[in-house]
Amino acid sequence: MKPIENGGPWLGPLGRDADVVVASRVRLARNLAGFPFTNRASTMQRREVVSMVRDRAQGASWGRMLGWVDLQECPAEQRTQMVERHLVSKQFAASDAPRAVGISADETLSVMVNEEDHLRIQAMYSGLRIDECFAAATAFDRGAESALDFAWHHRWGYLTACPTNVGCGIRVSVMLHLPALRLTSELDRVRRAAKDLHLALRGFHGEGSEPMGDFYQLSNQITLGMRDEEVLGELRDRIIPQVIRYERLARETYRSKAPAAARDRFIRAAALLTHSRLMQLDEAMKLLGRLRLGIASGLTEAIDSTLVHRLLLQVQPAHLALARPNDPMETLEQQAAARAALLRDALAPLRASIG
Amino acid sequence: MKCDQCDKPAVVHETVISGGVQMTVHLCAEHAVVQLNHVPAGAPIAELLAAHLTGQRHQPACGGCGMTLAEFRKHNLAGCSACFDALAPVIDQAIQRAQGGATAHCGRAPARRDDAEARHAYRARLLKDLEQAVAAERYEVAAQVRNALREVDGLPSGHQA
Repeated sequence: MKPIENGGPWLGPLGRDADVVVASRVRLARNLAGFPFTNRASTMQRREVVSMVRDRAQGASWGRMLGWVDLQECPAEQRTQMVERHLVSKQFAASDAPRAVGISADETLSVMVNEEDHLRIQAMYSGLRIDECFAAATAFDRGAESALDFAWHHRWGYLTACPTNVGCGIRVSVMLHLPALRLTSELDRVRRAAKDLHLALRGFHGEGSEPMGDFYQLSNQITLGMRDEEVLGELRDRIIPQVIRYERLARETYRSKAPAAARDRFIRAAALLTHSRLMQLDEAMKLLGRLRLGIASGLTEAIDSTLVHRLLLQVQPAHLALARPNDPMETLEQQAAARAALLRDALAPLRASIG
Repeated sequence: MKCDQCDKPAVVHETVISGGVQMTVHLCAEHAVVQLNHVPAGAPIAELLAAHLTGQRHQPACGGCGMTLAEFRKHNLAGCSACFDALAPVIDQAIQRAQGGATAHCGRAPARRDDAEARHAYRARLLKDLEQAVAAERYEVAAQVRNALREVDGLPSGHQA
């Protein structure tokens, strides 16, 4: 995989609502007819599924843009790096069964083969760009269905291993930065409201992950009885704008009630990030989140959010290790030292600006 | 708790061992008789003995991948396309629970599919559901099932239900 500096969906244009929205993602779950689902398939069958999908994709205009990685032949660190970059799921990287992932050169499209379902087609873009994600994922899906038979049921639609994905198999997620809602203790209200609307609010790496740096993924839970467009429309037109409004209101309230505290929080984060000699992952994520809030609030113009997004990936363990192949990183302290050095270096313009 | 096989309350809760796997089944009185050779309380001793002598215990499983109800319940994952008919109505309930009560897909379908077989299986199931609903005098359910049947056959569904 290429170094993150060269681009990637996270580092694209920030677009509108970038003060709150980090990135958008659409994922489609599909299975091949005539094969047991991944959890019941034999090693032979799994191999067959991988080669069938890969071969058809490689020979066709709809799939030629994907470069394929065989996970069984991929070193652990690179697998982890793909997880950190949100290209594959944690479970997918950890399993030892035959599986593969196809990734487009710009990393906006990735197709996992033999995850919980035979195909997990996902498209990712920076900012609030749900429609572009859907268009990219659907283009692949339509191409694939011209060459492969997808498992389908007259009543349940697209069949998936888990009942939570049956129907249209779509999961739309938007990565949001919600520091003010947490600071003003409003996040639980948002979480409850989301649950009532059949949405899930999850951590930085999605299902089962902890919120880090106040980054959250909001995604739909219902995939049955709703058309793709309805799922997209509801999030795009109704729910996301509302969450953005709440977060902005909370930021405004916080700033007006405690302007000195808001500025102090930012300066402290900047000072720690630009001077520390050891930096653990949790702390780095937390401070980068505060930096992002400061940028969105106009407290600095020395750096922009794109740099913060890049650092959010670069501070992750596998990214750190792979970027410095000659540095020993056997202990957490060595890792923390490398992380601190990376941050000091990347945030030099900020250090100059805060004096 | 509901019966594994239908919507009636479960009255028999039994731990069985099948293929070396221990599992608990919950059944209503009627299904207990069919599935576990369970003899209702107060049955004559001869019947009790007969039940034990013939006691081949049956665990419904998917013909496509061998998934049993207990396995499905444990992991909440279907094993193949055939599970969606073989493990009904338990899988139906699991889907509806996960999907906020939604009962059927709407919207996009693959451009290329040969679902004659699936349609046939679904139709057979609906017929069985209809029969059961009529037998239980659940006429509202029967009307819904009949409408679904008409839709499968490409006929306009009636709206008197």
